Amino acid sequence: MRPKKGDFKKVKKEKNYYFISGGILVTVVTVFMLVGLFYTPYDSEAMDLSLKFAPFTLAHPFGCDQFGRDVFSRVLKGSGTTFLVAAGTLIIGGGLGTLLGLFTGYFGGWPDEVLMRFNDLVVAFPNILLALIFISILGPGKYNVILALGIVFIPSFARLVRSEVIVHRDMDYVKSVRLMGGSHLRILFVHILPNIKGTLFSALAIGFNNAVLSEAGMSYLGIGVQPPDASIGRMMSEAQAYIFAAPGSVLFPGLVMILMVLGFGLLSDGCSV
Amino acid sequence: MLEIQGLSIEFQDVNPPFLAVQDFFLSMNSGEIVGIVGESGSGKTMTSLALMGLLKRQAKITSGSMMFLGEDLLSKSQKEWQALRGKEISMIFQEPMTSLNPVLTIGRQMEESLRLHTKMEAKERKKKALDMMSQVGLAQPEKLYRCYPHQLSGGMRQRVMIGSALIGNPKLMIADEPTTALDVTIQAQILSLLKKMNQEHGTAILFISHDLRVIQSICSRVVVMYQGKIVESGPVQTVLRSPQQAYTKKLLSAIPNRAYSLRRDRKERIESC
Amino acid sequence: MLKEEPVLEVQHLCAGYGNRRKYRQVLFDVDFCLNRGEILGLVGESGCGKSTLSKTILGFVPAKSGRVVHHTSRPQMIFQDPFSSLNPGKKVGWILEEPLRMQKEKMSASERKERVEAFAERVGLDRELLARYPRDLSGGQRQRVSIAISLIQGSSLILADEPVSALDVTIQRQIMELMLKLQEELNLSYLFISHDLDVIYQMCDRVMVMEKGRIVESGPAEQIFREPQHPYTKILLESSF
Repeated sequence: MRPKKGDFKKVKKEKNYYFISGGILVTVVTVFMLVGLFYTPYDSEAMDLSLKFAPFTLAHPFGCDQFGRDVFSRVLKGSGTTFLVAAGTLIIGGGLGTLLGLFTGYFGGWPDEVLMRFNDLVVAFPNILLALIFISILGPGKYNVILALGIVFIPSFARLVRSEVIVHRDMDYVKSVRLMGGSHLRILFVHILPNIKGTLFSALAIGFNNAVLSEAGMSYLGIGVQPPDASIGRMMSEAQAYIFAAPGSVLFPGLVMILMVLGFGLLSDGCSV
Repeated sequence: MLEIQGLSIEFQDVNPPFLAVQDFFLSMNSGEIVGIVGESGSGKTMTSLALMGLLKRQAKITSGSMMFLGEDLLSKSQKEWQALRGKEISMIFQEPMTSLNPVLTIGRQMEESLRLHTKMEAKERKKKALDMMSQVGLAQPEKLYRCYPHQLSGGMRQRVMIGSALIGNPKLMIADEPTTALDVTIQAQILSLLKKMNQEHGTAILFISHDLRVIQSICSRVVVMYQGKIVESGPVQTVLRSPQQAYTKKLLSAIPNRAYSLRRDRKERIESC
Repeated sequence: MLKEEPVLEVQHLCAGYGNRRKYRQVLFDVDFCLNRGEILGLVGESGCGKSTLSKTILGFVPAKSGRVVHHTSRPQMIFQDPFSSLNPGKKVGWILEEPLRMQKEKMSASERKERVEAFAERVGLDRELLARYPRDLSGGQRQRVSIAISLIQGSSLILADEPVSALDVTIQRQIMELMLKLQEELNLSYLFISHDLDVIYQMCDRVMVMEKGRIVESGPAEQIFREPQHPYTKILLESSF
């Protein structure tokens, strides 16, 4: 027995701290990455053996790696690449997955049946393994990683959106729009989709993290982004042998990744509150 | 037997705190059927939950006392409540679909209170359960004993609820809208069953409903609640025949009945103009 | 008296759910006719096929045999559960404008707004509620929104499936009065579905009693309630107070 519906002001709206802190973190990391895509203080691929394992200085705030490359520039550039891969993955996986989920959930029937069985099949394999298979077909490289991860991510989004759509599909307001003469497309995109956007955003934020981690994992295994391109996973993979000689080249990419994952994780929690 | 004085319940998780029940008085003798009537949000369910010690954490009893069989209910610990619930006070709910556990057999749920409060042998319990099942008008108790709730109709489930609430021979049963979800023919059967059980076992019933028609047919006294306060109380016939308060009058006149027809009255009025 | 001008004819309608292998027929040979300006009641217990009938009339459930003919623009519906009949993610004003957006002749945003405000006033909705979400409205207010949605489309045939069953009695009375007032002003026809005999008696000119998918008795309200013929009608009347 709450304050009566129709009295509006009584319940205080609480501040969504998850969303706010996640948003700040993500903004900072995103700006950092976007800068990296267009500007770095040094050429991220320029080697200078005189600076091999150079310590932290004002000129090289994160130090230099085993080839004398400026770690700060490489982190900037690398996280840009990682961001690109993750965003591309989400556009392919989240976009197509959402579309598939919307249509199969709403219309049902045999396409739904086929999709769900295919889904079961995909879910039975670990993501990385599937991506590995695609890479072995497509060959390594930045854009192939995006494509491979994107395809691997489709089923999870499709399944999530489908289950949400099914809840709304049978509600009376959908019938009400049918009675107004609204088309199925209008119902799907104008009426149902906005209702599931909270869940969808939350899934996208988690998906972003998974994509970042998958890319890092794949690059670490040597099947992701290829040298001399920098990516966070790639850098950590290359630097692991020199972890004591040049701690910066492992520490800072790792730190950026942690901030990124933490930020999107918080954002996701904030969305689902 | 039951003596509630000046009971107030407050929700403290909203700002300003929301007073759900204010200054509630009720005294009940054993074997009596008393009704609480009110619309949604009137605080009638809060009152009954307080009587069972089942208030949520956000709801606080801010003043008043509840005496049951000479004991103060408000000073009881969780353990003492558990000893009381099901044994001395039991409760049946509106929704017979959700108030029975779907994965336990009917027999098991009938016996639950015997398991908790007595040291009866399994055989004895079963005998008692079967006996109670035939008392509440369930045909073929032996067969039903092994059934699950989803195999029963709404009316049968409500009979099971009543049976399991009465099996421990409680002094007081709280019935919260027990017939609201049922069809009229079933509703009439359940009401006469409640009356019969009241006479045979001497169990007092606190009957909560929004429907004055139902209250009228079963209760000897009635309490009318509005926005957490008692507006009127007394013997059913007196309150219904000659209501003193404006709200009771409004409530009574709003009840659909067959003494007149809104539609035909309006038509006549229009035609005579 | 009423001129006998049918707006809805249902002829020997059979319908049900499922596919060819597993078919459960719910409606059996339902046959009736609703005249302009009439309120026709349909009463029966849960599971008797009342809702299936309204869904079949609106085309949500395909008919197995028989015909549904309506002599009006698209019939409208008022749903029982005011919590699921309005899109939770849109503001009330937006929801009310939606049917206008779908009309053939385009309206400007300000025309739509004006129209919506006029209808909101007609059903007794405060103008400030238009900027609220459905969750901020009480059950009665939501039901008023539902009624406005039906009216705004200019249909004169409205199916009301338990429109007041989820409401408190005092609110129930307000909505019933509103429906009657609108009926008189706009000469609407209602198919009024309810399990509550008293509500049916108060609202309807004619009544049909449905049992297990069949209409077992029909006639003027007074006649059905005073001199029920069918045993099932008698049982129903005896069980209510």
